Amino acid sequence: MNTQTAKALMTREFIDNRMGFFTIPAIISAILLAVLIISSISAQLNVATIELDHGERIEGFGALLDHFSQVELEQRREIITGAMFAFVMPVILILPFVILFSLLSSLYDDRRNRSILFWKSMPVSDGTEVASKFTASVIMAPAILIGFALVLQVAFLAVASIVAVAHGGSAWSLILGPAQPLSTWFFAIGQYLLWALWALPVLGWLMLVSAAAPKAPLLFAIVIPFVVALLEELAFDTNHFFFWIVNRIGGFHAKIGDPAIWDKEGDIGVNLVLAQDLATRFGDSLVTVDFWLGTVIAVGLFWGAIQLRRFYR
Amino acid sequence: MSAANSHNVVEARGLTKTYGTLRAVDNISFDIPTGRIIGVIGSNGAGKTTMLNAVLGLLPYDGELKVLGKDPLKDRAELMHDVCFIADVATLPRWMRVSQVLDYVEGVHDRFDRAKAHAYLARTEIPLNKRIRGLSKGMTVQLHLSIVMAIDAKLLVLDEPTLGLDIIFRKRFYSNLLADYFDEDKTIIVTTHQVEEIEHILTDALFIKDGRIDLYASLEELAETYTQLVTDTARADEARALGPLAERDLLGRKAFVFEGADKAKLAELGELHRIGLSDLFVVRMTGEMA
Repeated sequence: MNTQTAKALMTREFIDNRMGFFTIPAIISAILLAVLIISSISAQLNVATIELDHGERIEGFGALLDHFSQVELEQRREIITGAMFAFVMPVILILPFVILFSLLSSLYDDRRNRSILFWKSMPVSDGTEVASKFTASVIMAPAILIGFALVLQVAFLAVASIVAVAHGGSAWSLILGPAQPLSTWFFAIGQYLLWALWALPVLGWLMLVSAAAPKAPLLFAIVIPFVVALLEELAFDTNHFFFWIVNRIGGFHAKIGDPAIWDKEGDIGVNLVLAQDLATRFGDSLVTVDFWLGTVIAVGLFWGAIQLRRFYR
Repeated sequence: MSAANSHNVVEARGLTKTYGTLRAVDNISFDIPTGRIIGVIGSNGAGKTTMLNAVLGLLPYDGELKVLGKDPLKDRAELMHDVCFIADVATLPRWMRVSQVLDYVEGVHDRFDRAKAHAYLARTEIPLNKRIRGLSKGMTVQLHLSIVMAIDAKLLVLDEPTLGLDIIFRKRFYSNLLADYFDEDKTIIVTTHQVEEIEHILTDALFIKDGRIDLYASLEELAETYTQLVTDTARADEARALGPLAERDLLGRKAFVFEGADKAKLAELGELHRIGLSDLFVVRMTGEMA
């Protein structure tokens, strides 16, 4: 496949998925931006008294900034960076839904609206078609969401800087200097890629269902594994299948909430610990039987999706 | 295979497609040489579409099938550089704009000439910025035909290409197909129920009945073999004695269809006419003249 074909395919996927990939994140971003601007204006009008953790009271927004300028740089860094990510969280949180629904419709809609016969009249193999749809949902969609999040974070810093300057503070020392989102982004993207590798069998299952379901792919995608899990429960009184799926969807990175990681903060900084932990888990993943078993199953599921598309009709 | 076979665009040997116990295509063998325009004619459910879908690599089949020397099922994507088709009505992606579809085809198809497509579209009322969803049924067909005609393919397969179009566009389309698109290096396979409209552009006719080939011949051969005799009712018995395939009343006279009869003999009984493809089809299928 040459780059021209790849570009045409990805453009098509973008147009097909515009609602989930672009319109919804754009609307959420616009709302967040509006909330940011309105709240930063109203905060200055309304905030009279802020009570800090240790009982100290601060009067007015200017005093709050004064107080903020006195906290340690490291803590300032955490507060600003944390706020940047908390602010864009609604945009990031739609990613699982975007992936779920775009994969489920990826091979189903073409069959339902019969456009599959048009796509098949073009010199593009069914394997390339399935790969383009997978790439759109699992790589392009998060990349676009990150784009929105970055724009929002820049806007966040701009508004916060304006507020700081308006109260006679220094935008650089209060806001822009301490804002250090790069390591968190590095961690988040690495975390996501690790998740995608572990979730491959689940993603493959969604595509297989999309290629096979006569209707309501979401229903088939959920009901079939549910029935399998139920049969296992009834037959063996065990839940291996259920927990395997749960683990694949997200259980493996439960470590992120592990206090042991956060406790090390004082020594080398939480991001470094998380980055090391991430690298370790990437490394660990590649040597576990469970990971490779899942990958083999995923390959089978993708292969099945391609065959179903080939033999449509 | 001999060198002569390299001139065949399609070669089928014992091609069979079964759905459960139904043999939709039943052990058929045929060759389609380069530079022909073949009309595939059959009743609904006769197996036309199934046969064409096998040729296009859209379905698994039994038997042997080669399209441009390739296995259509295995090499569909590769084959589509040289094969173009419209397999059904309204298969264009309804959520795309006209210009976006053209962008897509331009991106993935090396034989697509965008300027040519624009030239065809300029003769229609189709706006480039409109979504296909918003086009009328006829416009959608026109758009698809414009795309297909702008692709320099070796084999073009059209399954009911003009369904939903008015008669003026249909006529214009078939004359464009012959004048602008077709040449001796191209081959066109077309099915339609409006046989009369394509008869003048066809070089060959292939009749399908119950999944089998009922007849496959060039139009010259058909004109040679089949004759329609119109005679006075008084001489009907003489005509019947010569063994016609079918007969019918014709404004106080009688019309008979003969297969492979001695034309000199027939001429003594009345006027001889060429039989139209649709009439011949009905005679072959039902043994009657409609």
